[in-house]
Amino acid sequence: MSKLNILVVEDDPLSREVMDNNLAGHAVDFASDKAAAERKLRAGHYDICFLDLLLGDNDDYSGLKLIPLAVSKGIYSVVMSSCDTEETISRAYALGCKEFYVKGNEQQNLAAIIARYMRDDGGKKAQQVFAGDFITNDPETRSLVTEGLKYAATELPLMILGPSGTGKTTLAQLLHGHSGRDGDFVAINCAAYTEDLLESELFGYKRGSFTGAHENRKGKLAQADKGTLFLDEIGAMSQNMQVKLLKAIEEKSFYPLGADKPEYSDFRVISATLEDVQKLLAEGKLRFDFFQRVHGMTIGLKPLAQRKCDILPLMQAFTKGKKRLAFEPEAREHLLAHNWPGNTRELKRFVELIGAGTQGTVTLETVRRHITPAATPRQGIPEPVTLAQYDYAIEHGLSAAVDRFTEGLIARNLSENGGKKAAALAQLKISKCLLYAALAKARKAQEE
Amino acid sequence: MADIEKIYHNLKSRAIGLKSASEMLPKCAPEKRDRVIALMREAARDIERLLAELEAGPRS
Repeated sequence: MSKLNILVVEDDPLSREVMDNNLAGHAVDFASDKAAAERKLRAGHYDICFLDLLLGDNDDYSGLKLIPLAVSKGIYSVVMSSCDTEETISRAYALGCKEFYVKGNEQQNLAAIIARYMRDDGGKKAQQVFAGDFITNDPETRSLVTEGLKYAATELPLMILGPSGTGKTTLAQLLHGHSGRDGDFVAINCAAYTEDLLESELFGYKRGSFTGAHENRKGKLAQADKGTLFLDEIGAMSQNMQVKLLKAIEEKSFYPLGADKPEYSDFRVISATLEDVQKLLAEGKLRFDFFQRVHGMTIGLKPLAQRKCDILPLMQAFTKGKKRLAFEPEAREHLLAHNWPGNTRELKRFVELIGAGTQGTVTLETVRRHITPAATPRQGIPEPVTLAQYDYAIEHGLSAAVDRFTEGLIARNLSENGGKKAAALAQLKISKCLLYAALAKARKAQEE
Repeated sequence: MADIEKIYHNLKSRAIGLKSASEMLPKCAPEKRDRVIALMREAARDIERLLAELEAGPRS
């Protein structure tokens, strides 16, 4: 473990001894009052700062006042106090502290804080992730993935939702990479197997358990021991299979086909589906008890059409170390206007196709030739509406439903264009009056 | 924070300090052990003082 520079702001000499003892192996510095702490925070280069809140018998929360300074210096700030009122905890987090602990369990808590910091390097690693392992500039996706990374090192199950090609497997691998688990990342697409085959793939089998079982074979559960089991397309799993797997997840033990003794595996589950989970539950395709075991923290990945800011960075990443391409302005516009129904998978294939060509500068004509044309609505035939839209129209009337649909379109367009009203006016071909009316309505709804 | 709340807070803080130190004590090197015991005595005296303040002060 590398040595960290740590500042402990603590007025009580006995508590300082306790901290010193539990932080052995690191470079630990102490400050017993606000002035000394300010001086040290300004001058030093600390990785972590542990702050007591009341510094002295008649102090007025000096520790709280130090949090903004520590945060402004990029120091991972942790409050360790015996003052834990709800108000104090809220204030500390609002000021930027990362973790809040009540004193008294230092041995376990300090070890956990240090381990978490080392894995994440105080949040810096999460930012690096978006430039390499999981490329996205979309603020919502970044925030969800950052949140997911916080759970990566826990035992909690994670669920990734999103259409095909949005990067569910890449994200699962990333989460495994940040889990600190020593074992392998083992993926299985549940939709690719029949029930019998899926069972033998997951649980493995013993020699002679069925015709063709000439030798013992380890299943995915055993392969994922001390690692991660990634269950893709869980919605395709039969009810019977869900019951068997539920038991294995719960007990971390299972019977391979033909075995008379259970086997044990310490696997962590990450699951994914492109289907609507609520719908799967409502239709009874996904058992609620199974869902409860696998859903934990949920990360929803948006289709590329809703995070167009990722198109160009992803293209750059796909050509990294290969032939670099330049795009004529019209070609670039066409790329950004395309909806990429196949998401990043389609984009990657497109980049491979273009890269294999002889052009360095890509023209609009080339882009058009290689892009899968989006399905255009047939003239005169109405587009189907969703059930939710239909129900809303029945309940509130057609006019209200049209307004709602219009506002939804405007909100989405503004979100995709980073809030630029001029772009929304041009792309949606609407009047300023309609745009501002929709914005006012959205504001009013938010206030209510 | 009102005075009475400060007393309760300081009391809790010293008591927690004593608990953590007593858990640490068996693993301490001899030279450190004496220093920790001296600090624990000081914390115990503080607790005594704070309890006296509580007894002398208003009941709520």
